[in-house]
Amino acid sequence: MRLEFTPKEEAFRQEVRQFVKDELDSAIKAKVERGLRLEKADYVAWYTKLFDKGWITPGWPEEEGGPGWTPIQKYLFDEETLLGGAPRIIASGINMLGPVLIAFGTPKQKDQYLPAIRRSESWWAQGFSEPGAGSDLASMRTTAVRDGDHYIVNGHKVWTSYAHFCDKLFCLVKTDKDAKPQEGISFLLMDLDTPGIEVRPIKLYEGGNDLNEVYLDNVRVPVENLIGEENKGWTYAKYLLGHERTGIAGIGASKQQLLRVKRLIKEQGMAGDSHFQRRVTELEIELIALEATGLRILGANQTFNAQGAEASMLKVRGTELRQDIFELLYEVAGPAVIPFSEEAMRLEGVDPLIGDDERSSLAANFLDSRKLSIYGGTNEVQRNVTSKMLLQG
Amino acid sequence: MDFSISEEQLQLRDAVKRFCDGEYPPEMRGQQVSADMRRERWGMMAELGLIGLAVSETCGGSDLGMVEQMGVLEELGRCLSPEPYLSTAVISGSLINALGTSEQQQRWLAPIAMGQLRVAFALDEPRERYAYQASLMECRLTLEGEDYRLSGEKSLVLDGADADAYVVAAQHDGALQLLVVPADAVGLTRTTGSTLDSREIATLCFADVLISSGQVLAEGERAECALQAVLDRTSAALCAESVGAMTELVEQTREFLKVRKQFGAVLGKFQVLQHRFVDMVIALEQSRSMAAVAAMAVDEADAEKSRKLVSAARVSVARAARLISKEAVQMHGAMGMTDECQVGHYVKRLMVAERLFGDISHQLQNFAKSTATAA
Ligand SMILES: Cc1cc2nc3c(=O)[nH]c(=O)nc-3n(C[C@H](O)[C@H](O)[C@H](O)COP(=O)(O)OP(=O)(O)OC[C@H]3O[C@@H](n4cnc5c(N)ncnc54)[C@H](O)[C@@H]3O)c2cc1C
Repeated sequence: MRLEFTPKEEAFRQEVRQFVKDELDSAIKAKVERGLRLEKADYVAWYTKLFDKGWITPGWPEEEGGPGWTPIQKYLFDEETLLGGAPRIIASGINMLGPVLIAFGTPKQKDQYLPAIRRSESWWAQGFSEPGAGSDLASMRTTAVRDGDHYIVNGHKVWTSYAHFCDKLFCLVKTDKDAKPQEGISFLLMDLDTPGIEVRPIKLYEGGNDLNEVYLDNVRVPVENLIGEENKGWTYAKYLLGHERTGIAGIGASKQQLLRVKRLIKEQGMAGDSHFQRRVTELEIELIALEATGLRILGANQTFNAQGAEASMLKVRGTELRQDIFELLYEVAGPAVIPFSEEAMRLEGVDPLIGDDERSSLAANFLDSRKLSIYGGTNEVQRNVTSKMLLQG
Repeated sequence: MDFSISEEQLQLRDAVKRFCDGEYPPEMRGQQVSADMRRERWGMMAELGLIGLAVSETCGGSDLGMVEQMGVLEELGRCLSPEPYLSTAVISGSLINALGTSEQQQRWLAPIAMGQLRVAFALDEPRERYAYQASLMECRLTLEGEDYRLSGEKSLVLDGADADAYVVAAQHDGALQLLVVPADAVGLTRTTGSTLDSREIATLCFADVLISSGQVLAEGERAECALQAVLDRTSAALCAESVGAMTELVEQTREFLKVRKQFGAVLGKFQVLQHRFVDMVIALEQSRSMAAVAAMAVDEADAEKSRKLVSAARVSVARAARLISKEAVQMHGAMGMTDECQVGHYVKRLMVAERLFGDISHQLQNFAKSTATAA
């Protein structure tokens, strides 16, 4: 046991910090730090910088273009980029599909898709959830029926993040209706411009529209777009969801938002308010405990088993802590959250009534933060799964 | 203490409920509506006698209290009514009712009760949050012969975008003055915008606006007392409105838990959700009690006691609203975060109610102060 990171690790942290400082566009940083809306171009600009440096896919093995980092390095990288105000990696190709292709894809599929993902030329949307299948994903009804060397896909996917930014979709489909729910599912790749696919935006309560619905009407998908074996899709999906959860503790993001709370308290002359001071301190301590736990898990088994109880614990605590921080930010803003306008959610926009008061975005940020306990497997489902492991194992 | 509701109060509630169910169909709640539609509804509310409920009979009102208004506000909250009931009927109406000369009452209060005049309340200022003491106000009056000139800025004026007039709080040599300023006064410019829950709001800028002595409702200590009283009244009203909104959120969540199926069962079968739903109901029922306490306190108690109970009610209702809002969204899953789902519109209404005229932190301070002086 040792309290500090090694000098090598610290040097790496410095290197990442300096990189973010030098390379991150100041307008993009301002948007992230003030909780404003980002465009696809903002993400691509940052991802391209990461690609050029060889840092875009820390989670991929070296032979597929990963940087070959230790878990601690990956951890420090996440923390430093988020803390420095860089956009998150929202591209599902990098975090979700990439690892699946690497583990289960054919050489041809890897060659075809991985390079474009790394260069941000190709953006993938995740088509898992359906109107009737959210937490109970296995009950989904979208079907794929074999017709020669194609599948004919019919169904309806929903809550598809950033599909409007994407050109491709990875999708879970039913290929065997008679099998047990989890055994008749396959994992298919498709181009979003294939005839029969329609993407419709969903407007969210805080005014954003990151989400979409995807309607699939007799969509012809080549059989070669199947990942792995037919009816084994559930295995690949579980592998993918394990990857989705690892970064979800969001330590760097929490640290960055805590800095924002402190700054706002100071700017508003509320440093003497013991109520807010105490809340900030409490949350800061919670964050230290979470970070220590994350690092302890990392150190205990250097091959972090993402599908175990540890990942669920980090997801639950990490997301709830982030929600608490957003709630505190929202409280600190006082009456400034009463006026709201979409204009004020954009760096370039000016609402005549709100002006450049950054606090008006904090209501939307608070509302948006509720998603953290819903996506990536709801926190109720995480607790169910974990308790099963602990009590019935 | 007696929380029972009289036959007349019950009838009033029923009438309001029928009006609301007819005028605010669920799919329109939380959506912006045209100015014409709003004027029409306002007229209907006047005909029902709702606007003049607490106005004296000489001005065409019913001379009733906060307890009666509570029933109206609860229903309006339940239907997310965007009408300026709080600003005009509860706040401005009661200030003119309490302070106005008979001439002022005939000029402003009678048309308010008849639904012909909508008067918003301009209290907050951009620089200091919830700074409701005259000495902190930057909106100032200066004497000019028999008249005054008013200069300064007022922010967060709810329903201020198309009000016909404003009750404005300003300072004159450190003393508070409450005045009525028509919207078309020379030197008054307004910047309009939208609230988080899609209602109208404005910032008012006064540049040497001429104020005749006939526009002054009260000054000095009399104005101070009236302001404190109306803030208590407003808080009680916000509690009632919030209870209405929370009732609907709980109801919608109950319905959802009964019909939404996952893992082959309705969500209401999952014990963790059962328990948390019960916690939502407990929070709602406590809020209902506290909203009633606040209304009774405004009608009956002395200033000190009223202040204390009303701030307690605000804190307790705000905490409950936060819990209920978060749980309603969570239990609806991703659907709860969409604009299409009603849940979000209720959550946003509650968020605005929490912040108007004093947030939790402000109310905690009010409570602590009144306990200190009462002890
Ligand atoms: C911002 C956001 C982005 C998303 N992006 C994507 C995406 O890109 N692709 C994609 O496929 N999906 C996406 N989703 C969907 C997400 O995966 C689902 O919302 C999630 O799985 C929950 O499903 P649901 O919304 O249908 O809620 P439901 O499953 O209907 O659940 C409703 C409530 O019931 C609870 N519940 C359900 N079952 C149980 C149980 N057994 N015990 C206790 N409680 C239970 C849930 O926890 C929840 O609180 C996204 C969601 C959000 C909010």
